[in-house]
Amino acid sequence: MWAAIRYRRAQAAFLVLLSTLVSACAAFAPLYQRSLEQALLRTALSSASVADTALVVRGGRGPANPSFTSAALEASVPQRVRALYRTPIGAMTDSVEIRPAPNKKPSPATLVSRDRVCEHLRIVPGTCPSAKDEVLVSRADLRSWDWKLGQVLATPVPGAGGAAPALTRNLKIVGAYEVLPAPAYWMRTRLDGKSGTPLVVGTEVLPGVDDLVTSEATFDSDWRQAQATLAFPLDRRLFTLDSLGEISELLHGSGTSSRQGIDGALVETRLPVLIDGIRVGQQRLQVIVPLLMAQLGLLAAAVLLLVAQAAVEQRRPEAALARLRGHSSHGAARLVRRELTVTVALGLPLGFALAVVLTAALRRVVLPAGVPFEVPWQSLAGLATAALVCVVMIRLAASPVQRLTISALLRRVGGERRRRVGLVDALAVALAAFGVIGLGTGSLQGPLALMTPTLVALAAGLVTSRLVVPVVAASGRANVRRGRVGAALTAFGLERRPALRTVVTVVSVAVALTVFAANAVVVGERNWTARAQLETGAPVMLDTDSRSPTALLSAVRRVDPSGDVATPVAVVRRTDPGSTATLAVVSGDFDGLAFQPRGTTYRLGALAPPDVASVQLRGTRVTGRITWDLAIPAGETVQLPSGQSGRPRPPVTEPGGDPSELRIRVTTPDGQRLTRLLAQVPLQGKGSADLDAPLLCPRGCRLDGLEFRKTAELVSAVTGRLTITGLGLDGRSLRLSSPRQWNRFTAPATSSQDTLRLLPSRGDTIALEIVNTGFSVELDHADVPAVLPGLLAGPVPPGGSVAGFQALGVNGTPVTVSAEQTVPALPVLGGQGVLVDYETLARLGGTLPDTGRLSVWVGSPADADRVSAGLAAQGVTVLGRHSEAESKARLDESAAARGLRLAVFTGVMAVLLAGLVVIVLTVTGWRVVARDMAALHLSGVPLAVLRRALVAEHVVPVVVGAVVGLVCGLVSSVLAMPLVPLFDSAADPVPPLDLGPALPAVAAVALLVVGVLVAVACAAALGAGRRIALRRIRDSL
Amino acid sequence: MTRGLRVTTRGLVHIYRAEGHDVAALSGVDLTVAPGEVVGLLGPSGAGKSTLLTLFGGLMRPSAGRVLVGDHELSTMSEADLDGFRAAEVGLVLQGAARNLLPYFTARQNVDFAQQPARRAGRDVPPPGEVLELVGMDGAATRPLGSLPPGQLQLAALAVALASRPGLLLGDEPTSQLHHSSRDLVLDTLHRVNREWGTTVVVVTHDPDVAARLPRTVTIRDGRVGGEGRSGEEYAVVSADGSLPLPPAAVDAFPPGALVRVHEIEGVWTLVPESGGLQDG
Repeated sequence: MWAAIRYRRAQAAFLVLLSTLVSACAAFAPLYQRSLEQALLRTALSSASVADTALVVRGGRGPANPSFTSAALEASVPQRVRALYRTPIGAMTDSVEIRPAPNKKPSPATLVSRDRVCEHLRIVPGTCPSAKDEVLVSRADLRSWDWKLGQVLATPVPGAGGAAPALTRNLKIVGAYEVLPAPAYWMRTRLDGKSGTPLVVGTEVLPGVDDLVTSEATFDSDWRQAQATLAFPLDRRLFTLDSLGEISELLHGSGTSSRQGIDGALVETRLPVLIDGIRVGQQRLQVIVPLLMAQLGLLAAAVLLLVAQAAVEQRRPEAALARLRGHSSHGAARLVRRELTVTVALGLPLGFALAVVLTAALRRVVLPAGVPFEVPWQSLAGLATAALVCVVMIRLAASPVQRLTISALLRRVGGERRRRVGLVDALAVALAAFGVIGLGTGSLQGPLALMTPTLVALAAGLVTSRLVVPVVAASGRANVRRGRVGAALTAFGLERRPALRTVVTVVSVAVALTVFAANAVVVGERNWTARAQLETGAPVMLDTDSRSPTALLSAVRRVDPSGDVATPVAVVRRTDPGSTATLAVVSGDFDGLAFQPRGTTYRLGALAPPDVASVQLRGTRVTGRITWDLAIPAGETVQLPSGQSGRPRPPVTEPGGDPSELRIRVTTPDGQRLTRLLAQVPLQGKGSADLDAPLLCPRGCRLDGLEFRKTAELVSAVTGRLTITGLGLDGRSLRLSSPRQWNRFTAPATSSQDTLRLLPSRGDTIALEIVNTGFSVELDHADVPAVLPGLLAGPVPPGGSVAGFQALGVNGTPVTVSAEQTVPALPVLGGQGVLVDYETLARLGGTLPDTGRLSVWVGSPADADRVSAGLAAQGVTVLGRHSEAESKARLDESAAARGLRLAVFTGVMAVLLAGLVVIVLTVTGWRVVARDMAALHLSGVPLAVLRRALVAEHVVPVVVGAVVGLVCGLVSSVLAMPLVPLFDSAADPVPPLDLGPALPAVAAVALLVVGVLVAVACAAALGAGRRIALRRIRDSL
Repeated sequence: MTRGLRVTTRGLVHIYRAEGHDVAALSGVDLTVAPGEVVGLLGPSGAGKSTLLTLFGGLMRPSAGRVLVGDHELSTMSEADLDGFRAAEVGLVLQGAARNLLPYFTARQNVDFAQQPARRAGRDVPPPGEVLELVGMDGAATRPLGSLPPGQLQLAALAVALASRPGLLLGDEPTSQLHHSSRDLVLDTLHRVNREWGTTVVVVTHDPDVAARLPRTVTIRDGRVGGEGRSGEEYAVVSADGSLPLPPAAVDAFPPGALVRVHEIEGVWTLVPESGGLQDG
């Protein structure tokens, strides 16, 4: 047997290499998956703070437990859960009121005791409090309020429900502290940072005071409302992949609270959230890894079978000899099987070692630090499976030796056998068809779904290789008739040799798998990039401390007047997380700076601010002339309040009630919206008067609109006409009479009859038709439209329609927005929100609400520092920086992304396997080929023609297989990509997944693969061609 | 000394099944080879010589008729019995020395390999060295086959066929593609084996020089025994059904369809053509 292996040492070497790849594939998947899971665990742990993974027990003193301390809370945690955590950190807190200075009102503060607190504080000056009522104050407070060591701070002790009499405790300052950074100790506790910060308490603003630190002895039974917490830091050594299930069961199943603890104690931990996140990641890997590896496994098994068949074919004469010498059919088959099995077995441990080395390299290069070296049992099972597959495939391949008679074994394979559709072909076609239909209808899941892409290629390769035989035979005959020796030799060679079937099939599957893998990676990359771009909206997003959209717009424009480098962005959310948030961007800057989701073109032109310039009011007094012609409903009596006698007064017609008011609405440069009274006009009647009202805008204002309101409460309505001529400032007209300068009036309510409608007029006159029942009717200046155009993602907010719905403006006031376009996703906001024009909204002025954030998008990371510095120079501080690259990097570290990179491995392995097959088949048949060619050479065919024919004979199956594989890979990509989870989150992906095939990348990869395989085929053919020599005619050994 | 096996066929017919049509390779061969006899099978290509040889070796089953080798009726033996028969009773040398040898073994190892089934069956087989010595290649027995000249390779093939000391040695063109000296060496070896072991030897050959060195030759023509030669004398052979194929020279005188009278005149049987007489139809 060893002699047989040595005799075909080149073939044996390639078989060993093939089995090495097969076992490497089988062992690598579980090794890599385990490493990825470990990486997932470590990424989750490293991104989680100690507080995130801690278990915290909270309890408050009450009548049933008037004097317990934090240590008593430990009994609230079941012992099995307790074992997961390290030594707890206990703390007691209660509210105190400290008068920072004699002339100040007492400020609310917190009295804190915490285990081993002085080890985590720098005490300068003073000592750690040890006795009751001794306290440390912050160094900032000590300085700010000029407190002295030994000074006593009196505070009332919060009573128990107000029933007990108030107590006062005198807290003696024994030192001052500075907090040492120790996140693992402090968790979410922050003692300082409040000193001097204004606190709004009721209607008063009080100076903030940092926490006072004391010993637990201070919290005697007088502190009846004291709160205790006991925080258990997670013992992360116990938090392993193997213990995840147990920990999850402990925290979910049996609960974290014990009945033995303090009544009402609350046990909290966010660890289950962390575990759930890891679980989702594991689930993603459990789909992706088998999806890719099952296909590679199928390819490897097919390659093994086909190569083994070729090897067995080559050994048929030896099997025949064995039969001739009296060996049974079983014995002859065993002879062949043993040689091939031993050869293949040599590669199995090598493959396992290769998988281990490859995983170790990836662990070192790609995965985060700390991922341990492990050999999970699944990898050994993979090795065993590879061994089993090898044995089965060799057994299948050797079965003809057992079945055929000696005379059949002695003959070369008949042509009719190659043309016959076999059971394997029929089975592959049936399974592939079943898989395609299942995937197409979405009804197929499980292993067959995972293997369908490869099955499709396998079936197509097998069928094509059958169909090619008669085609090349016909081609051969045609070329013979035309006297083209080389082409005829190529065609007949293809027809005769079984390698055609093997190479076409294997190359089909390999190219299909590589195309599928490449497409999967590129599609994943595309979707991760889209998500990252959507998260930040632009290459860089700078969060600012600005609260004024107008001021930020001004600041950004000073830094970048063109809007090509940076642009302001406002995000305003409502408190309800499911509501529609607002994103305001400068629509004109968007295209140059921001990202648009692939496949979506925002109709940004519809968002452009109106072509009406804002009117800047720079002056001291509003001037002009006002004329009115107003009436109240006929017969309506102005009912004045009854006099002391209680008798109603008679109807009064002149003068009639309180005058109505005409106001001008302005916005200040800081965005504040103000109204100024322009004139009071009589409730009814005609008349005119000069306007001369103070503007009160020392730094100038923007004209926002006009308002009219009837103030007389006893009149149901005022109707009539009002004209304003020469409305201006300090006698200079503002020329506001054009109708296009004003928005159409919008009624305050749909049922309202109120109106303030602009009438046609001549000259510098604004003519208004008025119907007013008491609502303030407004005529807005047209620099801001009455209904803002917007781009809507997600459903129309409740109560609205596409034509108009309520959204929050950047100043927190509702604005009416129409959905000019419904888009699948919006930057920053994701799948639900509305995009409006920043400049338009900024014209409305006002300040950002608490739920809003003002940011600056920067078009290039290279400009981020310059923009930050420029903003700082304008008084705008950049609080944080987010980049698309960071978001992308975070997504790249997700389990789905890391898992999908396995596709690169499968693609490379597929090409390697295909290349090996080409080489093995050439090596297997070179003696026969060389002999045949030598005979032809003897007949006078030139060597060059023979060699060219040989090269063509090797290249044609590769090209045919590659074309079939490319088509199958594309079909599989369309069918099977929905099976590939691209994100760790179970929520619907935003933006919607774009799973369209990446044609340029696929074409490039296919070309590369074809190039490699054609080169291999050429090299193998030339190698065989070099052996064409006349001596081969007699040389059969 | 091995006892040579008798080979007897009766009405042996073999038909090759081909796509669309059948080809009768043998159409009623009656032949007997006595134990220890050396016989050459002659005839044109496609006459059925090699088919007859493979039927003697149990590689195929006849379509009709019987083949007896020694006591074995090959047409009715099971596959296992045929395996045992090939392991011990018969040695076959295929055309082309290389086809008889495992290329990765030396001659000695090939002999050893060929003896394994016989050994397993409990058959007493000669040491490989003895077999190799018998064929005269003990010196080259351990050299790689690739380094051996054609004559030595043919001797190695012969040694492998003789590995289990069979009672019947079959050779399909054992001297083809050999130089005269090598051819003579192989023929000498065949005669030595026959002489020393008593082995029955049946060889197929096209070579008249080879045929001339064989004591008995049987010519197969169109799937039947067409004649025999013994010690240089040519004979027509009456078959079991009484038919007598004429020698080629006589066929010219008696074209197919010719009517003849058969007369015995003083112990001599004479064929007398009927003048102008061709059989109708």
